Amino acid sequence: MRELYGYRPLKDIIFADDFDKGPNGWINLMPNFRQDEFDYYPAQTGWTSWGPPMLSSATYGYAGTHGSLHGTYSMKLSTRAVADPVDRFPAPGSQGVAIKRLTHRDRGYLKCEMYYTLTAEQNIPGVGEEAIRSFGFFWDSTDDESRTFYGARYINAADGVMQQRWQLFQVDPNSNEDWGYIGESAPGDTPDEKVTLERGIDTIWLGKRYKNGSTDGYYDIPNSEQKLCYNETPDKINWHYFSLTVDMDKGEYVELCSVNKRFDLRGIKATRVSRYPRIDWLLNPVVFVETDTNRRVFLYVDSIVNSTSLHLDDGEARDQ
Amino acid sequence: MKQFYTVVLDRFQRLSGTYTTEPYETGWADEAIAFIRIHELDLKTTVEAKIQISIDGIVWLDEGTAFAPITDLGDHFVKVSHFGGWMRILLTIPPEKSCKATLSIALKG
Repeated sequence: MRELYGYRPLKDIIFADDFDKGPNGWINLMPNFRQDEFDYYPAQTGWTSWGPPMLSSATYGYAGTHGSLHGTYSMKLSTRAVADPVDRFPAPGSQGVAIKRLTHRDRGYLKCEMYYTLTAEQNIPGVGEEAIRSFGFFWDSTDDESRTFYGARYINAADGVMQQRWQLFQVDPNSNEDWGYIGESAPGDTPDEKVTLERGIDTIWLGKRYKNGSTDGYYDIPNSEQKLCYNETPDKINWHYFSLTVDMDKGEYVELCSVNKRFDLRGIKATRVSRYPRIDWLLNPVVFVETDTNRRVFLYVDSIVNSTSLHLDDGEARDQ
Repeated sequence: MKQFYTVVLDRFQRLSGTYTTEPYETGWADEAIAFIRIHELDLKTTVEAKIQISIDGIVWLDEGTAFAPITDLGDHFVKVSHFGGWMRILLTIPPEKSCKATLSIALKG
């Protein structure tokens, strides 16, 4: 990625990560250690085996090296070959999750763009598109008063049934189902303060799940059905464009772009919860992929750009 | 400057029988050190471990490098080079025995 061709960032670029230049600070998402010993909170012990990111040449046994959009390497997320039914919480290892950690510089608008592709492991015959349950991107975003998960997820398949629609991170306000987390999750500001995961936090593995791939943590974007390009065999990969723009001042979504489609999301709120100790002004972008069956699936990110601006139209080449 | 990346493939994992780490792409790196940290080990147990490589991350071959037999708690390692695009660690724990381990690969290139 010699320049930002192919991207339409907002005025101030926060980072522009090309994985030909290395891992750029992306690491697997890990649970928190307890404070009294090198062990995890009981509710998080299954969260230690999400697949770590790797620099990938996208190499296949019969195709050879595919490389990336802008060079040789992309960041690949892999799941383990394990899955539970779609209406249960994700099995440990059934997701690959990569996170980068920084902090905000300002309020205003925030935009993520990436070129990615996805495929199933070529260990058995077939295209394998039905093996991919979902993938997506989100920000874990805080200020000194609140915490918000902004993100988009593509629900591809649910127990082998193709779904192929887009969802946003937003808690269903009409559900009374438990979020699914029990006990402590992190150290407080003081030793006596107890912290737990509220509704709207850690949506990728919490929230009641349903047979069609909907969950209490995701809002199904109306009329968002979209068939992605899986090509005709799992060792042929095509790079896709994705972008998500949010308005941090209003706490709502602005726009999702996927390949040729644009979804106007203005007016759709993200779920804002109260402040969490120790993580003021945190800004953590996260990429994830999830398998639908006992087969590894992969998400490759060629490059990813995050940008911000106080105004939408002062740097972005928008059509509207 | 060179790139460097340590990936922790399994952490505090209870292992028994034959266990392999998840496929990991290493094509960018020139050299690797595979680490096994033994947290717990059944009495009178020897863990065998070796490096495997692959052309596609699916079919695996012995690379030729093996850990010295592991009989103690703590960290153990082997150095590896010329491993191509994929690497994993294969561990063998005797029947009816188990250990608790953290498995990592430190890559540089």
